[in-house]
Amino acid sequence: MIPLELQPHSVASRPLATVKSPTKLAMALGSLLLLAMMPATWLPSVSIGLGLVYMVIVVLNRISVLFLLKRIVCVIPFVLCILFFHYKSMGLQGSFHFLIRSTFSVATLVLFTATTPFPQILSSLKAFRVPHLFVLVLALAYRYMALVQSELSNMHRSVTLRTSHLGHFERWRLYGRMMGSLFLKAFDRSERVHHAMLCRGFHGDLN
Amino acid sequence: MHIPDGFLNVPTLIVTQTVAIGCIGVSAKKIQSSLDVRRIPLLGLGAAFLFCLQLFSVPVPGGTSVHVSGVVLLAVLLGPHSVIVIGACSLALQALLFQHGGILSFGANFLTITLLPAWIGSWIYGKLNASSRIVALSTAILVGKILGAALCASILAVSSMVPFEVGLPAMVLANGLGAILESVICVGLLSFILTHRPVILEGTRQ
Repeated sequence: MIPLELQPHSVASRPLATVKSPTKLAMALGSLLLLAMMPATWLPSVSIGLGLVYMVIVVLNRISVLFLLKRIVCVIPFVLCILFFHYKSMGLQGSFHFLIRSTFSVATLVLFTATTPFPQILSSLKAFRVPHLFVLVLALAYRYMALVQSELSNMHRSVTLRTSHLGHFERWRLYGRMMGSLFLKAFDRSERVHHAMLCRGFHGDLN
Repeated sequence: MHIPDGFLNVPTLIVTQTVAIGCIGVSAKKIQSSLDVRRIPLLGLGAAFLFCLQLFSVPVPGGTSVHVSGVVLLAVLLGPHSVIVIGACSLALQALLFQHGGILSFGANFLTITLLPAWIGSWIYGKLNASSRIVALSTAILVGKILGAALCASILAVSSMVPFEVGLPAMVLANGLGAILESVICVGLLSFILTHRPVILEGTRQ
């Protein structure tokens, strides 16, 4: 089980955190579209320009470079896998283009979430006309993710302590029952959450 | 298999994004018109639960891993329209918080990971569950996941990223492995719920 590390860097006081969040989302979407659509001849100017902008953002907002690199490294196996098939047809320039496009796209997303606290991400989604139901479900999921995950890791620990003699297949079956119990816990919790929401005056208004 | 941003070409992005947003819109309308307020927290906790279920993964040679997706199971437990909302939210969270997948490739990921497995899976489950729920669920998971992998391979091929004759066997093999793991876990989960709280399953039958 990996420890849950939700948005370790988004701090409200950093410079980019004061920019309105819908603007930030629009900027992120704009750079993603630019990266997706740029012709090969734009490659040097776009990569240098965006690279500089991103470096400034990283420095000003004091985002850990190690964190950024770690997230970018996650996408490298996929990139290499594709380059393995297409190196011949894409050539050196095409491969470089693809490498820049995919790593910069990941960096864009990392920088957006690192400079935007989650409630602001939600309000920017609202500004982009995402249905209210989704925003509400996202907010609830974000709030309860860490809780459900810590319940799971407690159960996982106690299962591991008690089942050192089991083989792989039996352990996987046991994990199934463990997840069943976790589902029931989440189900029951959702009823309590519903009661609490009613207590605080929630009428099911989705608009 | 989440497709990151920057992998697909523009026409593919436009088509997948349009189809996905259309399906989400239809589902959202359908669910909002008939939604019991009580189900909103259930959807939220369902998404949190799905996130935990997806932590189970097996490494695949080549540096990546296949993980349990759980959408077929949730389609059986909570209904196919609810799972559209839950699946879309969990994909969005993964893209935003952990950069698994992306914003532009959200549509493609949604179609291959959530929509196709959930709908095919719940259709198969509906056909087979009269005889045995366990067999029905594992068949639904296997077929749903493998068809999703095939769709993913064809999207990558259309985008001229991975040739279809290479992508299809690789994806299907990896996801077949994942589907076996997933059906072992989900069958255990379903039989646990059937023995301890069968009411939940009766509630979704209507």
